[in-house]
Amino acid sequence: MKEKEISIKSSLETIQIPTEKLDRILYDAFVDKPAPKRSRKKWLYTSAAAAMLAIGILTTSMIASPALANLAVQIPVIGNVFSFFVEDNEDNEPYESYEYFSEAVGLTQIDSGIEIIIDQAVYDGTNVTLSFLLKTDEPLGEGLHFASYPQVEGTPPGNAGMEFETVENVGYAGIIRVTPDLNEELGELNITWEPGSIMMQTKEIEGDWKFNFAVTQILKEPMPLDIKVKEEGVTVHLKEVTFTDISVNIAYQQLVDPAYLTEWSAVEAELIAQDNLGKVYNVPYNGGSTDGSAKTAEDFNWTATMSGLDPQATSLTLYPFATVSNFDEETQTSESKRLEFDAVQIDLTDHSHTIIKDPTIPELPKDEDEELIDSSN
Amino acid sequence: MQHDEQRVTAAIKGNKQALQYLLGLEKEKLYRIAYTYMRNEEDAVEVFQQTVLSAIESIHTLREPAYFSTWLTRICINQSITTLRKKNKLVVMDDIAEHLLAKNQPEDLDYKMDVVDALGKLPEKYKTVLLLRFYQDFSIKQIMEILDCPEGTVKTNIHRGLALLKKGLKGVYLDEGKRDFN
Repeated sequence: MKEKEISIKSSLETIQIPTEKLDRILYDAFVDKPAPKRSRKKWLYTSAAAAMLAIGILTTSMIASPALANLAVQIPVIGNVFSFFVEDNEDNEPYESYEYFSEAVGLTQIDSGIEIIIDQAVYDGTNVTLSFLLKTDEPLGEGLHFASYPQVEGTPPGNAGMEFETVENVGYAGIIRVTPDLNEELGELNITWEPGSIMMQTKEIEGDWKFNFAVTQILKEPMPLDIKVKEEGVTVHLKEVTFTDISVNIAYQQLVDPAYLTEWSAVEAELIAQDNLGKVYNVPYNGGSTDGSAKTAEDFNWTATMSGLDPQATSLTLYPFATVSNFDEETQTSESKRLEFDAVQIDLTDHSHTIIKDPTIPELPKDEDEELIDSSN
Repeated sequence: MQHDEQRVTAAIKGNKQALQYLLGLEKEKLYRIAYTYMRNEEDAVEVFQQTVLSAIESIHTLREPAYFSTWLTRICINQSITTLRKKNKLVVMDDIAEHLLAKNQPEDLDYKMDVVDALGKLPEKYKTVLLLRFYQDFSIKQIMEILDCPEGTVKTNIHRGLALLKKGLKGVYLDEGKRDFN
């Protein structure tokens, strides 16, 4: 036999790569299964992986509002970034409350010609919301996001969302909300943020900005619920409602019968709320994660936050509903239906609760509803 | 493979696009490693998928961005071994040695495919160090870290693995065998 030199490396290179299959796996692992009804404000990775970080760009606007224009003359005055979002507040976020209850952070870092200022932060027991300024001499263009978002020390990555506005002659004013995956009650959180780079659609600016600060939890009133409501193969477990001065946070879980997933492939449980005065509230989820007890890939723990609860309200009713859907990869078409569950009415005066059987789920105010419909297109 | 540390850092901190990009760069190597263990496409694809999901789940645990490639390789190898064990496909060392020694190589054999085949049949510990050293080009030190074993063990397993491979590939010199791995 003639001696030949054979390289392990070149030999392994002869293994044919099923590129299409591998690309599909990568795609499926990172891209959410399409659900016909999903708010454009957030997106969430629902892979089997647990405790993942989902970055949701809440809203982005490239139009400076009159209020924001004032920022140009007020910078470098610190302490009022939240207020610049009040007038241009499509989401009815309680920015005034954020500003009132938040702590001053006032940290500044400059690198690569960009100055990042963390203005204020507030922690309501579920979410950390911070305001920031990003000062730059040159416009950065569209699609701004950071390589990395603030993290809570000692906890796995949670979910994060960002809202920002461009400000002429300044750069950007922004709000970041982080929902850490907390395993225990913490009265104070240590936050670290090293953005790493600022990414735009067409370029990326790297920088060595580093922030480290603590934020203390504001007062909250937790109310354990432990109520399970079921419809078909989906159970919604309402665990706890927490009232704070800036938000109402609801912790809930969706549990899906494994047999149900032979019929439907994706489940997404959501909430709508209405007070006794008739006001309907959007209750967007902050993100969800699976844990070791999950029996199916669709078992999720969620937190959702509603804002702007009318102080005159004496009761609040939570209406769970779920969208179950299938997606046909070959035809790229989907089918879905909505499940509606029994509702839970909470007495805000004594924190008792009542289950309402077969309720009529209220509709969101027209503008929010249109937004949701638009998001599915 | 050396990756842009900034991008790896972004992935560690939760940037999904960054992680997806990095996994895309590694996909061929990961698949080929998986294939060497599983020796069929279906199982190798399954291992690749498990590796991707495991990487997504645990990327936040990676402390040193420079170790991304070694960390990912370790996941792939562990997934391969786990899957092999689940499928009861592990072949004991003696059987392999006998098989390799008894095997007659026809002259017109595609030698590269034969190396792949022989490598795939090697006992796990030899296959792993040879893949890491000669396919992934990891240093002895990196392999020590990946496998969490002493330098002497790594060197011995490389030496024995090459010797076993040579026996299985009678008449073939392995260029890697000449490489200084001290």
